[in-house]
Amino acid sequence: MIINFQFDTEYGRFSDAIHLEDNHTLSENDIEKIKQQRLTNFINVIKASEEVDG
Amino acid sequence: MADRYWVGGTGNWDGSTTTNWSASSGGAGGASVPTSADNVFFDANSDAGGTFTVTLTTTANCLDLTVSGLDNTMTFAGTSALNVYGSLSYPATNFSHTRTGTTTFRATSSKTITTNGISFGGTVSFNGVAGQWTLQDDFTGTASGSNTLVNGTLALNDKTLSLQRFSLTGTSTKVISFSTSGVINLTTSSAATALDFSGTTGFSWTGTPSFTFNPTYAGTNTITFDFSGAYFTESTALNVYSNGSPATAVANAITLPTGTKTYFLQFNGSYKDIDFTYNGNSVIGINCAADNFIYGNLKLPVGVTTSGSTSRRTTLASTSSGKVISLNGASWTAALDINGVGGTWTFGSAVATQGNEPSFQIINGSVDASTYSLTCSNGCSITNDSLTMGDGALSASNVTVSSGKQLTLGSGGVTLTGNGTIWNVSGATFSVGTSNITTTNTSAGAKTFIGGSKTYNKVTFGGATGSPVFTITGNNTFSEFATIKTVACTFTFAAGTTQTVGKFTVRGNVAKLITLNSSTPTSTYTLSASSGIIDSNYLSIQDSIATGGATWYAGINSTNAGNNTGWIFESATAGNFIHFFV
Repeated sequence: MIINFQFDTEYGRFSDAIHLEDNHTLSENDIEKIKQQRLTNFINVIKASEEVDG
Repeated sequence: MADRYWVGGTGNWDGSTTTNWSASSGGAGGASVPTSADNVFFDANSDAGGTFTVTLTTTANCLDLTVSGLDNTMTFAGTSALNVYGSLSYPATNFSHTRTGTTTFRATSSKTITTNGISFGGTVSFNGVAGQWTLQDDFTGTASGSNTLVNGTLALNDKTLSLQRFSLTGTSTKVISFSTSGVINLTTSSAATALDFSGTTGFSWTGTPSFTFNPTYAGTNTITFDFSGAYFTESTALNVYSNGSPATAVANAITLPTGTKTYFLQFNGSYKDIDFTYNGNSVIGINCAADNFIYGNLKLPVGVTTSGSTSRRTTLASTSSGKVISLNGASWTAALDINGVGGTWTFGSAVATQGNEPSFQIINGSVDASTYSLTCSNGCSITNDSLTMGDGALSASNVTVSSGKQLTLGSGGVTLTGNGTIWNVSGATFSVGTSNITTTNTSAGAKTFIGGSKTYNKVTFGGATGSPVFTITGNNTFSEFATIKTVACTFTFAAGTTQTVGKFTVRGNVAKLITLNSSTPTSTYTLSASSGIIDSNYLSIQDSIATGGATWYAGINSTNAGNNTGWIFESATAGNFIHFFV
C-alpha cells in the first residue's frame, strides 16, 4: 500500500510516499511519526546545505 | 587410479596406516592409503560387525568418496582436512557425519555432490581449475567460518546451498550456476559478513540469482551482505525482497526475516535492480563504498539507512522506460546520476541524495518526479533530456539546465540553498508551472541567477543573514521580485537587461541597506512594471531605469547614486498623498 502525504513549508511543498506491505503492523501513530520524521529530514537537509555552503 | 575400500570397522584415516584399506570390498587390508587419484568407498563390508567410526587424523585425499550400502552405522569423525578430487556421495541412512575438518572439493572436471541431508560440520571450499560441482540435493554446512568458492563452477541445479557464511576469494575464474530456482541460504547469527563477494575478480553467474537469510534468526546482530566484486549486467537480476513478501517476490531474492535486527547490504557493483519490499522492524543499512550501477529499479522499504562516502556516485543506467526510484524515506548517500539513453524514470516517493556536486544529475534519460520532492544536498544538473517536477519541491544548492534541455516545474516550488551560480536555465526549455523560487543561503557568498530570459512566478532572494551580491542576468519576467534578507545585500543586474515585474518587493530598513546597481557601471539596466505603485525604501540605486507604467517610489531613505531614470525618491505614501491632491 502507498500512503501519499504532503507538507507545505517555507521551502516548498514536501511531497512523499510511504510504501508498506498490505499486512503491515504499523499503527496510525507510527505512520504519523514516519511522516513527521521525513518532514524533519527534508528541512534538515536544506538547512544543512545552507550551512555547508555558507 | 585405484579403488580403496574401508575394511575392519573403527580406525583412523591417516597418512600411513594401511590396515583399513583394501583393494576390494570386504577384501584384505594393507592396500595403500588413498591418494587424490584413488576412489574411496565405505560400504556394507566396511564394518566389523557393528557400528564403527572412521576418524580423519591427518589431511586426506581421494578422488571419488562414496559411502553407500552401510548395514551398520558409520560415524565419520575427526578434525583434519579432506580434499575430494572427484564426486562425493553420502547415504541417507546408517551414516553420521561429525567431522569438523575442512572439506575442499578440488575437481578439475565435472563432478557431483550428493549429501542426502548430511550436514558438513567443517568449512567447505570449492577450488579446482575448470572444476564443476553439481548438487544432486540440498547441501548444508554448519561451520561458523566462511565457506569459499575459489575456482570452478558451483552448479546449484535448482537446489539450496545452505551455509552460515559464504564468500568468493581470489582472482580465478569462478561461476555460480543458480539455474532457475537454486538458492544460497545464509544462516549465520553472528555479527559477521554472511555473504562476502568483496575483493574478488573473475566471478560470474548464470541463471536466476537468489539469496535467502535464515528466517528463524531472532537475534539483533548486524549481518552484512557484501556484494562488492559481483558485477551484474542488465540481463541478470538481483532483486531483494523480504520474507513474506508479495507473490512476485519468488526469485532473484535476498530474503530477510521479520523481526528487529540489523542487516547491512553492501552494493558496490552493477545490478539490475536493488529492490526491497520489507515489512519488518529491522534496521537495513546500505553502504555505497564504491561507485555502483543500477540498470533497473531502485526501490527501498521503510527503514533503510544508507552510508558510505558522498563522493561515490550511483548511476541509474537503464536504457528502457518505466524504471522507478523509490527511496521510501532513505537519503541516498552517493550522488545519483541518471545516464541511460532512452531510459525513463519516475519517482515512487520523495528522493533525497547527499552526494557531492552535483547530487542529482541527468546525463541521459528523462525523469518524472511525479508528485514527489527531490532534495539534493548539492546541485541538480540536467545536461541532457529532461526533469519534470510535479507537486513536490525541488531543493538543491543550485540548479543548472544545459542549453536545449528541459526543466518543467509543477507547483511544489524550488529552494536554492547554495552560493555561486545558483540558477542557470539559459538556453534551456523551462516551464515554471505555479512554482515559486526561493534562495535560502545565509552566507555572504556571491550568488548568480541566470534567468535565461524566462518567465517566473515569485522569486524570493532570501537567507535571512549574510550580505551577498545577487547577480541577475537575462531579460526575465517575475510575477514578484522579492527579498526577505534582514541584512544589507546587493542586486547587480546585467547591464542592458530588463527585468519585468508584477511586484517589486525590495525594501530595506535602517539596518538593511539594499543596493541596486549595474554589472557595468554607467551602463543601465531596466526594471519594468506595467501598473501600480512600487513602494521601496532604504535603497541605494545606480544606473537604473524604472519604467513600464508603474510608479516607482524609491522611498525617502533611499539614495540616488546616479544615472537613474524613472525613480521617485519619495515615500510612496507621501507621493500618493501629493498626487491625490495635485
